[in-house]
Amino acid sequence: MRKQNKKQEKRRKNKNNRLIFIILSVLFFLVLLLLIINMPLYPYYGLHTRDSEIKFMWVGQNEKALVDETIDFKNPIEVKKNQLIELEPGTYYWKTSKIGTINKFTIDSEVSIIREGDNIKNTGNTKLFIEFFKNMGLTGHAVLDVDESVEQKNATKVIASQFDEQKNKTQEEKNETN
Amino acid sequence: MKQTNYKIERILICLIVIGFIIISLAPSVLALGITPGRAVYDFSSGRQEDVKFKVINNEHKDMSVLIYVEGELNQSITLYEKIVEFKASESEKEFKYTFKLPGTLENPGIHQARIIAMEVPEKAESGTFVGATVAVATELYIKVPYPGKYLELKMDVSESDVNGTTKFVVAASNFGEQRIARAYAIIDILSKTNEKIASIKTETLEIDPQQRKDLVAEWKANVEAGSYIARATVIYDEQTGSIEKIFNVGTLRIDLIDVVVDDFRLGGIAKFTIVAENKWNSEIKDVYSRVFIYDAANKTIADSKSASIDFPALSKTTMFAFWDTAGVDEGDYDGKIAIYYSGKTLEKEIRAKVRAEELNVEIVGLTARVVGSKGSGSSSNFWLIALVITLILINASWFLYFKNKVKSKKSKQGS
Repeated sequence: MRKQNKKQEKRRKNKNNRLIFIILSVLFFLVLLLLIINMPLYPYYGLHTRDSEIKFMWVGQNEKALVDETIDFKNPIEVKKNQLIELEPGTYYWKTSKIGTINKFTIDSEVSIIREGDNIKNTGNTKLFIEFFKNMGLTGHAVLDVDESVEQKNATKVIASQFDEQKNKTQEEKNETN
Repeated sequence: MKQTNYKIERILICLIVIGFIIISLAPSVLALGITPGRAVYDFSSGRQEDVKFKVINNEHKDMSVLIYVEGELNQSITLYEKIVEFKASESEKEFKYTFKLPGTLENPGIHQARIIAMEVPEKAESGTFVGATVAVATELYIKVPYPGKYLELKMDVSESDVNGTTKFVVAASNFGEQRIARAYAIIDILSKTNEKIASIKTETLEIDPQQRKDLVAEWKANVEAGSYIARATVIYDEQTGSIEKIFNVGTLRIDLIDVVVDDFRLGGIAKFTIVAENKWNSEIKDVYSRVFIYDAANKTIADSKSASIDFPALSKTTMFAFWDTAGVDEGDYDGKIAIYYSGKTLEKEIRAKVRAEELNVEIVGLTARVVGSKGSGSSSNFWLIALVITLILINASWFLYFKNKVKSKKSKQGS
């Protein structure tokens, strides 16, 4: 009876040992795989953020990753691991190696202003087109870069929208012909 | 006792009145945000979409926000909320609008509408709105393709140092209805005086409707440091388009060449002749220098500033600074020469060897300046490698353990 119990216990122990061995082996190969394929961590696929400073993080041996506005990576910028990069609002693609997966993320533009008295400041993450109104009539406009301010006296209403370079250029050309 | 109470009462009233005046005079802060700033869609007949946007309460205050639509496409937009109340604890709120496009939009190009969020100004006792307000807009752009072939161009330049490689990228977006079979760009590099320096050609690509392709070309910048013009002419099938951009080669820089003190006598005034060179291809305005001399205890004993000058392009110029050496002993003194230009500072350490009849100035070297580097190392890799090694060791020990066990079992069975 005792002998049987001992045998059963031994078998159970062996089974446990085998299980641990398998788990450790799988873990080992997983880590090895991670080191070889360079797994991107952040910014993850589909991320939408308003923070224009992005810290690129991945697991693996590669020291550099490529970031581009187009998926064909014809004009990429190189970023180092854990490097903080300032990007303009838009959609970007990034990959850690030639064979690695391509991640896509978007920096959403934020139109934000703060008005203290006559001072108006762009507190968003994109260039702004500001219109000034007095008694419902448009009295002027200004273009503000991020963190830039402008003084405008007695404006009853201020409307801020995202600056459009192409539209502005067309408008300027129209004004010149007129 | 009564009198003292009365005094305290009067002081308190005065303080309340002053406080009230200060509060009423202080400029009120108005702040509002909206995201995203723009949503862009291609036109298709009867297209209907829901578009989400967020209004941001940047100042974290109680406020009412009015949401309304204006612009050409305002009839195509349905808003689900008109007046929204924000509490101080709410940093942002998400909303949506729906657009339903008509069967046709006449002109090609961009058709738009603006969804405006406006902080409702405070109501006066009479019930009318008083004071100023702010509003922010999120735009809806609907792109109607142009008939035939139409390219919209944008140019980016990756600047380089002198003799480095400058990269030109012409982003060409086909907003026409037809496919462009062959598109390439010829980029002329011009000096500020419009003299042609070089001409480069990009590869030839085909661009499908609504597609963007980058036309890329590289150029070895074997020119003087300075500002230049890149003028790109894009030839696509039988049409052309052009775009230009100003770019820099190298950085705006002034170098310190030499520092000389002539006709010196200890106790008199030393005239420092500072020779510097403008390495940039344009004039640099308001350049001046300062000479600092320190004693053995690192205390400043001289701080002399030169007159400001306008530094001509690619030339050497001298600036003068003076040091009254009355009461100064013979010996070697550490110091610094700083040149200030266009918001930059060039600093070089010097050693002034003061003798009875001469003053020699040696330029020791560049003063170290730390340039912020946001990138950092690979600690995660270290831990990964450590983990792999540990796992290898554990696996190896398990392997040996099992091998020994099988061996002992076999030997037991054999015996």
